[in-house]
Amino acid sequence: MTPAGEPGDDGVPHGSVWWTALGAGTLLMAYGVYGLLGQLAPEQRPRWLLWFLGGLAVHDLVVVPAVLVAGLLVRRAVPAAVRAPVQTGLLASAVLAVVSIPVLTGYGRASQPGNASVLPFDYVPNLLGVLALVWALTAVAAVAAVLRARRARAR
Amino acid sequence: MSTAGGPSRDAGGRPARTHVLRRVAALVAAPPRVGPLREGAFPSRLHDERPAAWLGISLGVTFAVCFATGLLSDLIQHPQAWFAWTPRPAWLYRVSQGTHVLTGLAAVPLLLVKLWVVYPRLWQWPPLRGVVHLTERLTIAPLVAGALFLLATGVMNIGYWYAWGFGFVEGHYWAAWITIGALVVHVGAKAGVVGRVLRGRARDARDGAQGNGLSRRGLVAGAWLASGLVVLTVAGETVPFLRRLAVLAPRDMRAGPQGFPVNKTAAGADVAETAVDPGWRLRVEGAVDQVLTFTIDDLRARSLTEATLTIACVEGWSSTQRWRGVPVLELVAEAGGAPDASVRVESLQTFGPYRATTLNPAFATDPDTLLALDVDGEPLHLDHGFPVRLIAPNNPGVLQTKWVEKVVVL
Repeated sequence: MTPAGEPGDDGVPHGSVWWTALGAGTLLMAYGVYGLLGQLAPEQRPRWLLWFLGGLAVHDLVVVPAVLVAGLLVRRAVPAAVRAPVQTGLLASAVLAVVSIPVLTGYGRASQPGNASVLPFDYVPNLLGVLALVWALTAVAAVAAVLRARRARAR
Repeated sequence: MSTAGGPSRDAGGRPARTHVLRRVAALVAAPPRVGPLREGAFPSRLHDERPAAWLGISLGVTFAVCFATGLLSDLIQHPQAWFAWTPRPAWLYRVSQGTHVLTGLAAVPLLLVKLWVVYPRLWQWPPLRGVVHLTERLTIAPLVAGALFLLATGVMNIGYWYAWGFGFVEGHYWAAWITIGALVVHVGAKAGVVGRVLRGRARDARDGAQGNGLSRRGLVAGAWLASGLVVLTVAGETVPFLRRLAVLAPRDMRAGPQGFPVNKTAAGADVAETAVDPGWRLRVEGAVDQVLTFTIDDLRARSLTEATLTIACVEGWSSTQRWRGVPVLELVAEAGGAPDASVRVESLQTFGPYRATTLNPAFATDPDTLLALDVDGEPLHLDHGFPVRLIAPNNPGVLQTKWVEKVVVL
């Protein structure tokens, strides 16, 4: 009944927990839509919807496929012995870069003219510094993984 | 289907329309499994219910914490009849709002990794297995869209990047209700899988799939590690002992005039001239026996009260200073206002949602609720609210009204 290879598949939901959750969750969602329609000005609603669904579309159709391709490249290019630390390093680097987009682009400075306390740092060198640290740790973990593999083979 | 009329007929004499419909029906009944629909299109062993469950639990906790702290912050700023915020303990808002922002940041890698793990389910086969299955799949759209929306708008907002074309407060707040609703449905649908994983009875559907890189545990640990790094590089904007590590934070708690940040400048609030006008007076009015007016020298001639108080901003940063000023409760008493009255503090600002703050009786009677003239031994900088600003314990930063000109006893 469960198609093999799909994470978290429990078949079709059933039982009292599911129906209770469906009822309660639907009420909460309906309250959210009701509040949104009440408080967002009519001209803002399409923009809200664009961001709401646009994020989903960009994530599912661009971001994840790109990550999957990157994963394939890592599989091909990185030796198995050091692949795990490299994958972790890439994951951490990508996340740090993504959450830093607002401070890196610095649009916030333009919305607060004359306010030097907004985005006070030089974020490009700061991010590069953090990434250098991430990759130094990755290198240490990779060396440790290679040594471990060698010792295991020697035994 | 009628065969009469129809201008376009194929060799067999039947309308071409029928063929098209049949072909569509055949495609719907047995669509070609191509691209991501192919069996084995996602070969990694990491697309597995164990990391999905552990990351799901982590996200459930982070989103619940964000939702609770977000609701609290909204209630404080939009008080309801049944909810009164209190000035004590003085650290509470700083901690709750710092938690809101840092937990949201921590959720970013958890969400991205989790969505990657379960991505094959977007292309699951068969796509629909009846009405209940359709219902469950439909609630995944607001869940994923909402979670991405909340984290993206939140991260942009703490970076002061307002690119959306809608009000952040309303857009973020109501999206949270929608997302939490979809999350409740999702928890109901996945309780069985999570229970199975927690009891160590995960299904080994993917054993034999590609390995040799990160393990399933390694992936979850990697996501947590990334969360930790993101938090460590920002948390110092509100946690003093981590300040030096906050190299990616949008704020430095010690950067700004007089050594702490400014949210709205005097120029931005259009008070740069009125705030330094020698004709400035502080008026105490409303439900009082007599209206009082003070010049800046009148205020300075009084014996002033000192207090160490924190500005804790909704955007997650905070900074603590030594303030000196006149307690609001003294002014209310001198004017003959009721000791348990609410008090509205109004700015010279003529526009904006934060030009006035209403102090409930608990705040108005707290001895540390000050109209401050000095900070760290100096007169306030113009951008910090010269000549006089409100500073109260446990009061969100946006409600610490600057450039005060009026105290209205209600």
